[in-house]
Amino acid sequence: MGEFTCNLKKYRLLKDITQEQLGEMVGVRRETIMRLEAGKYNPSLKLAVDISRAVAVPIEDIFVFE
Amino acid sequence: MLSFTSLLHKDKTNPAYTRTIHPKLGLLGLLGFLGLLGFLGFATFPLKEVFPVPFLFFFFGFFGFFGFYYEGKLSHTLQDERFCSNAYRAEAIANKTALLLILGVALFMFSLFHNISAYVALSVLIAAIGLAFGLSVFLQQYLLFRFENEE
Repeated sequence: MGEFTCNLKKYRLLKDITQEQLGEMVGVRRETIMRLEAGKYNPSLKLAVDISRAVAVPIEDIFVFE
Repeated sequence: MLSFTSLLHKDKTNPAYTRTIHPKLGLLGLLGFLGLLGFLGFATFPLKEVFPVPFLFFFFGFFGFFGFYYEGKLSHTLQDERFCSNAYRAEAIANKTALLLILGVALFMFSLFHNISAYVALSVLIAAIGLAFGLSVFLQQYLLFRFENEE
């Protein structure tokens, strides 16, 4: 698997929502969002889709595998 | 003074959260020292007659209650997918370690000591299984706590 980049923080700040709020929207903890943004956790397809819907950004723009 | 119900409280209204446990319940792990009672079977012949199988060694398994300390620290935590994957990882490592302990003790005992009596062999095996059980229960909670808090 190639390098994994997560642009979630950028899009989350554009939507002006906190990690806590995003976590509540997609049903995970703030710590999980924090690790996602740091690129230290690979989400499941369901979580990735949920996050994509929550921030209204295409999934491939948020999670980039190079 | 903490009552027992406040020490061990399962949140039935929301199963997505871990149960609420006071970390002090980890002190129950001291009950594992009851396993030492198994040596009474060697020391006193009458007790050996009462308990022909040295099952008292299995009390070493109570050492697993030390895991309540780490479970208490993770009380009322939302069990999201990262928590579940960490729990599976901790469970796999703990069970593998416990199985290796049992296999290691059995192989070591039967390969080195050929003249060992059945009673002693059974005692060692039961002690090893009890310890492995306690180790597995403890490691699951300890490793989960470590995985949840690692950077």
